[in-house]
Amino acid sequence: MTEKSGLAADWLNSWADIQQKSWSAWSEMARKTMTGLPGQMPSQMPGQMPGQDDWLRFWQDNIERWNALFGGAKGGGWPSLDMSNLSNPLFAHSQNYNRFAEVFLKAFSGMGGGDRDPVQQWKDAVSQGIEQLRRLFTADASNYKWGNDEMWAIWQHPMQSWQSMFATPLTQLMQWSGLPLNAANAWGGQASSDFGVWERMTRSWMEKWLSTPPVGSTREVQEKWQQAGRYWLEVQSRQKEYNDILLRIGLLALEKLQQRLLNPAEGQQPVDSLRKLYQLWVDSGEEAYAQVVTTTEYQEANARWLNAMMRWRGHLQEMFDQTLAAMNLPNRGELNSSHQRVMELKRRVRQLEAKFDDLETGVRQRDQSREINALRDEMRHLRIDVVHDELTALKHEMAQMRTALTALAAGSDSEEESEASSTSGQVAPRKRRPAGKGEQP
Amino acid sequence: MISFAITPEGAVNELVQFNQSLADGLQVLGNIGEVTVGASAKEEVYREDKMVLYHFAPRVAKPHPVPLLIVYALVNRPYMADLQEDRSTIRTLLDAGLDIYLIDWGYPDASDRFLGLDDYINGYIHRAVNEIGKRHQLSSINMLGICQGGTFSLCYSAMHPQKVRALVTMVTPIDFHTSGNLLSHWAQKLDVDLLVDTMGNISGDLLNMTFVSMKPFQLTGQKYVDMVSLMTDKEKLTNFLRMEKWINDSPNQAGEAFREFIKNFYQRNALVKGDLEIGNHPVRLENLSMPLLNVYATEDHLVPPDSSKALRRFVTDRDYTELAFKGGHIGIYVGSRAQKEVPPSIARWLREKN
Repeated sequence: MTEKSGLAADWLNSWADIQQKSWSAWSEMARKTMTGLPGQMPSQMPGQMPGQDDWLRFWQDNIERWNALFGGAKGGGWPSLDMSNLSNPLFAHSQNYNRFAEVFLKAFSGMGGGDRDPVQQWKDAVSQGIEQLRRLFTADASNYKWGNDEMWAIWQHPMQSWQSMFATPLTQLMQWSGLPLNAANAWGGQASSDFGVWERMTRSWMEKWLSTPPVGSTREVQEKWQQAGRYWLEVQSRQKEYNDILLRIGLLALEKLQQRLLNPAEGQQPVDSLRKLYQLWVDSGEEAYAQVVTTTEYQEANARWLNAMMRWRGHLQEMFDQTLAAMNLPNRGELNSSHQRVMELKRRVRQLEAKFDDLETGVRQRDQSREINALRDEMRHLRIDVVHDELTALKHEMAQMRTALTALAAGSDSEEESEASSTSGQVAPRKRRPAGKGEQP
Repeated sequence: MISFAITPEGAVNELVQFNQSLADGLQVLGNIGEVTVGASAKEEVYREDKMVLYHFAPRVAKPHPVPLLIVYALVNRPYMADLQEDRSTIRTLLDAGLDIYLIDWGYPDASDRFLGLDDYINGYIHRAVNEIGKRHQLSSINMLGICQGGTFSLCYSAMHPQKVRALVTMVTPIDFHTSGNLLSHWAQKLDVDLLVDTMGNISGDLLNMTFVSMKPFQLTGQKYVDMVSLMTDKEKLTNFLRMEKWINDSPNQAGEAFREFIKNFYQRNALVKGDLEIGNHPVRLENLSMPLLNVYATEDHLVPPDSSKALRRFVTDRDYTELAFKGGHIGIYVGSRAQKEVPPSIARWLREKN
């Protein structure tokens, strides 16, 4: 077993062990706390859970351990293994599901007691759950950074793709530049109004620096860096716009979920499991998303963000190419030129091949037509009456030969028969032997 | 009205079950080994740059005399049409007696960045058709285009109608400006020149991200939560992982071809406007003189049915047939109902037209 697979096996064993202990204990506690519950209306509303503080604490504890195992929050000594490259989306979304369930279970745990109207209690619980999700969502969004484990995983996958395409090489370039910028933070996307003190100072400093005309022998280089800075600020603003829209979609999804829970549509199935509740959120999310991303506003914001990133990356790439050229090293521009020339040559070769094929086909066709023409000429020069006489003579000759051969064959048969009857006293059936090569039939 | 019926005990049990399934499933996942794809035997018969032409081994004694060339999209890999034995459009077509060839575009790299649509359509496809024609001593063959490959097949058939005996298009975008075409909506304001000039080839991951972004709650969240419930079943998990491999196995796109495709098709909608040129060839759908079978999926979120059905406007007086499949863009290839409905219909239609 390799070291890597051994590690994974250990992790899985630890994980399974934790699971078993945690959930056994949890089930046992749940069983105890639920024993003797007063009659509730499970088909209409969840019942109150006695000792809810205990189980909430227990739940919280287990969730933390889960998070630790998934490489997330600190788990207080529980084993943890970074499985992000193995099954990141699976873990992230499973964690999300647990978290989603946790929010609603907490919200509903206070129901069922006292003299309050059950319907009102239910509405309050739904509102509380939605509010909690809203807080989680907005808190995550305002702290939104690439790879942040606290971010809702729904947006994580697409954002990570962008990050892998843009951030990594550019982070290095930004470090080379000596600018007081962390490219990773560039993906935070906060507008100046949302910046923290440090970010506001950085932006303010940058804006001043960008508006100062460069002088001296390095002015051209400085000017290019200034342009890079302007593009970078544009990316910041455009990403803020885009993130705001994502946040709006998330909140709209919650509104729709609340609506579906409190005012179910005609024929809507009752939500009798956490999975159905989660499904309702997914449906609400897709509906909200479709409502927003089909607008011109989204179309333009999305394009502005992408175009801004391209301008920034393109500009830095150009600067990078110039640096490499100065060091007499090959760069992307030169490689592109070579690839383009090779491609042009290939096209020409293929065109020539096609023309050559056509010519070859033409020559073949011309040769064939020459042969046909020669035959035609020969035919034209043949006299039909002469051909007719020759054919008649040939036919006559063949008829004579046939007669002669028949007579010959008859004579030969009678000789053989007399020979056979004289030796055995019987007439043996004669087997025809096929004519051998060079023999006359 | 309260439409809520979750009990505390039920919720606890459900969460225990979910997490237990995840724990058990991880054990299965750890032992599942390599995920393999492709069900039918095939051999390479022609290669040019990264393009490979495959010939599938016939599965009947005397296959149909006119071979069928399958042209797949540049996006994703063609093994979607031959994923596994019981989910293989190609296998079902082979069983129906067809003789099948397939173009595999490969994985373009930086040296392919300047490949344009002319290179793909009037180059690679044309030479593949010629190669098959030579092998079978035929001047024309049948063609089946899938998704973007369908658009390419249509363009090829319109430019070289004498080379295509009958054409089948599957989930193929034709009118790129129909309502509900989200990809087209997003592409309109994109500066594709800037994108290609900056990125060179377009990353397959970027395209994947775009496709996933069309339904992010379902395709990034719900999908993996659903996965937990099937993880303990090795066969189901293997099927899931096979699809997962296909979805994420995305070749990069040759920059110039991507630029031309987005500008001419998505932004200008030039194919249906009748002012498309590829290389020096005008592409006119009215030139499609061969019998046409247009297969589309009624719940396709990538290629809206109206986008595919637009073809009928250009072939009113031709031999034109539509086949609607109740399902999505992927389900039409891998769904069990699709296996029973779609490939047999295609095979029947091809036999009738040849």
